[in-house]
Amino acid sequence: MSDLLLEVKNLKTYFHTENGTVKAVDDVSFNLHSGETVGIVGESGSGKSVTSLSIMRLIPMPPGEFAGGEVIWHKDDGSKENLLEIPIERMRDYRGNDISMIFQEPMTSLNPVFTCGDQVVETIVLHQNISEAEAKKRTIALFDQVKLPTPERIFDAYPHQISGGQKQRVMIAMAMACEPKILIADEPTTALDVTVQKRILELMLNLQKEKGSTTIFITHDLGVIAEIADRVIVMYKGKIVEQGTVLDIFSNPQHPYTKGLLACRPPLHKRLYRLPTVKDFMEVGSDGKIIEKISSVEDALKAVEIKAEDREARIKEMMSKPPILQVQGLKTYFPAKKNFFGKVLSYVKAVDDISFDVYPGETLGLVGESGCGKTTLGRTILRLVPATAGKVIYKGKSILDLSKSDMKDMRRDMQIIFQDPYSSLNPRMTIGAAIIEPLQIHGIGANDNERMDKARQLLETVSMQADHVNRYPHEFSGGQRQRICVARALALEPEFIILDESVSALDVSVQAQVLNLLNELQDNYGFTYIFISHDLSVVKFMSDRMVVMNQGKVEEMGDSDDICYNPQRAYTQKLVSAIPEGRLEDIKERFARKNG
Amino acid sequence: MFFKKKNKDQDRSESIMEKRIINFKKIKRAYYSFIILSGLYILSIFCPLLINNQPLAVKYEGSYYFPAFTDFFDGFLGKVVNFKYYNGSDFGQSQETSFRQLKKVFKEEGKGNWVMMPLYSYGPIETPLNEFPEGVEPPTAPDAQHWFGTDTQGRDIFARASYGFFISISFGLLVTILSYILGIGMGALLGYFGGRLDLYGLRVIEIFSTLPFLFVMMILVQFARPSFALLAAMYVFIKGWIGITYYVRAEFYREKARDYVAAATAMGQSNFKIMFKHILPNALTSVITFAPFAIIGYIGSLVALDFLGFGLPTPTPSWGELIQQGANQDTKYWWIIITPLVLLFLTLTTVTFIGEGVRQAFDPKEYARLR
Repeated sequence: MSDLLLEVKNLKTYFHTENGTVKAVDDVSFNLHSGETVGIVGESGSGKSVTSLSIMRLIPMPPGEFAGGEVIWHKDDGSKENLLEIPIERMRDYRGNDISMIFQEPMTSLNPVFTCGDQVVETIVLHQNISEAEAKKRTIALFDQVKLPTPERIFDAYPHQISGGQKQRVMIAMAMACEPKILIADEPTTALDVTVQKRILELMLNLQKEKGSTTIFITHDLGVIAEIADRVIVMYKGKIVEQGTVLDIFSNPQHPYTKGLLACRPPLHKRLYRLPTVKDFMEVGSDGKIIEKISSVEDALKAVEIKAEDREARIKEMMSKPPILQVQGLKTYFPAKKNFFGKVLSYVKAVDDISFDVYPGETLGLVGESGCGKTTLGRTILRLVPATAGKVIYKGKSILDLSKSDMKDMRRDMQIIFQDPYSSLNPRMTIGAAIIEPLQIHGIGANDNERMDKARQLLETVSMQADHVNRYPHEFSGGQRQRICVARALALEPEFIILDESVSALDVSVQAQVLNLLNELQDNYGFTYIFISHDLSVVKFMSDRMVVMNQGKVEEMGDSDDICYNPQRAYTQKLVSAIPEGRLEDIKERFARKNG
Repeated sequence: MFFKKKNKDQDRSESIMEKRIINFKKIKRAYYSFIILSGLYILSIFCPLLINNQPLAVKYEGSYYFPAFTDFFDGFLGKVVNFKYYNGSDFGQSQETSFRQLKKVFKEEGKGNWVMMPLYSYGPIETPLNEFPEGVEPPTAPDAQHWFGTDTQGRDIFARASYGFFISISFGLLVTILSYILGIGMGALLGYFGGRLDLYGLRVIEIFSTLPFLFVMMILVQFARPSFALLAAMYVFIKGWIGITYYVRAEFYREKARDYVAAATAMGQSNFKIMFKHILPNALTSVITFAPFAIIGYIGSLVALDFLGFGLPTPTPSWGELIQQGANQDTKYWWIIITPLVLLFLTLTTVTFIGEGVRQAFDPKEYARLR
């Protein structure tokens, strides 16, 4: 390996909260050599982001505190400096200049009142002694390097005028503006579509090769790590549980937690009836020790595989019944341009003439990039968004023509679970109150005590504790909140549920648990799902048949396996190839390319 | 929420509002200001029993009379019940005889008749000129009888200032509460339904917000000569609701796009319930933080109107009227202006402390969880 650049020794970062001290980073040590990419993986709350923020000294204090350890920076002349001890004014020289950072959310990490170009120029002028005109030239060159189309136009564009992927490219350009020695990328692709994610990862790989920069890449998804990192650090509850080269981790994982993370990603080329979760691999004993349960990832996967003939039989039986929901020529337009008198001149065609059938007990997948209209389609079916034309027939009744009171009855039967578990629960209501609300509306149950008993049962159904009914949403993690949303949707005993990106905001490991829960519920209660997601691998795992949407229209429709194994349209092929699968062959090939 | 039913279940966690109340209690300066001010306010409700020229009880020829209580209840029920007011002539003296003099007379007579006066035995609107010593003209300087002196007409300044405190705070509270009710209702409607209603509603608000408040009030007061309640209603209608409506409308606009609202719609919840059960508690934060400062504003502008002589009808005891008297007098009568100014300063400072405390307790930054 080349020169040592940064040494993290026994780093401890604690947070003092109302509920006691949280050891976010607990005795973490690793080295960073120049020119390498180190991936830090872990679920949310594992301390991976706090580690990187500690290196930058960006921890808010209070409530944060460095309880011990050192972050040693090795300068070019061989001298060392502990970044945790230098005065904050000196630290500012490091930030942006020697170490820079890319954040998760490109939508909010650019300031909306400045043009993209100005923000990059600001960084350059701040750290380097050059004129603004010079800095502008540099910025446009940088934009060119990060493969932004028409760099001059983007320079003058405001953040809201460009897409999410482009914003992330601007962020990368900004981070690279002063040619930092270390680039910290904190979940830079998590908020993006898989297709965009792939392009950003390619870009970062290229930049690495050209500039030889050193990167710390933080993510919850091992699949992404496989595409980009040289070395992997696996973190669990503030501690490092395993570290090694990417090849070692993928071919021969040692720690059960790593194995769990590897196995819980929905595979593209197998069909499983449930995903293995971290819990299948390990158990935390009462003394805090980790007990291993299954040692081999392959065995765990083999145990849950579905045979092809079982699946064929299931689909055949399903299709023999009449469809529960028919969507015919559905159109939802939003006015885009209006003239002086408010007359609409042109429309955004969010859903443009879509037809499909859904059979009882089926899971229909709906997949496409963001902005393709899949969410609008789901909401139009439930009349949360008014339709422009077309028909939605549910059990023989035309939903779009129902009166208000008939629609209220219909809502008992049809439920929706949203993407963002943080905004879909009212923060001012206890989860018990949230779950019994639909029961109150429809007058189910004699009184609130009886309904509360039902809420407790429902919480147990979604594997949560019944006595949590009186807690507020903010006390739960993202995965738990999504379970609460599921419980709320189940309260009315619906037959038909739309899952609108319901797992997209969750970590891969938590996503696996929620997906398993949804499948179990479907087996037990015979629900019909429409499963909406931008991630083809998840849709494929969940669904029997799949609709691929692009710009409001159906691109391809058919059996999920057929579409994944043998995509017909270029658009579908793009979606399939964008999925970071984390296969060993791919990693080997990447290293061969890098070294050769 | 404040009016949430108490839950008997164990393992109940605090709501956001409960957390904020706990936070508020931790901020000592604000919390003690709140206790002192609300204590004084509650005390000032009973002003007629504490500071009055009417006696608490009189025993005259075997029967008992309670004139101060009459005064006290008249404040609430004056419109419904016709109370009989007593004066010296009811107790065998001339009409001009004050109860203080009556007390002396009864004592000298020694017939078992007696008068029990309140703690401070001067009223806010009485002018006991006949009790001044020979050759002394009001205003008189503070002394043992008149703690803060008397004003130009010989009325007791301590009594007037105390009643003025009750009226000022009541006015601030009443106008704030009414503005909030109207403003939240309007803001909720505009923000939630949007569209054409919002378009026209905003135009109405714009028209109202361009009215020059003080001038319009002066003109209206000239015509209407309003009572306390009517003046408060005019404040609310011309000024109070507009700012609140803007705030609440914007909050509703933002919150209605959140998924929990869509979730409520999807389960069949009615618009009214969605607006007031789901969105409102989430939209209230900024307007609640704003409330103490609104109260300050209303107290201040009532003082201003009274000062200009366009406020509450005379002889209502008010700070603004005292300040105006003081401002028109020679500086040797300093006590007339100093008393209301000091009281105004102390009250507004205390409310500001409370407001700062509320803002700090509601600040999501300090108590946010790390995700």
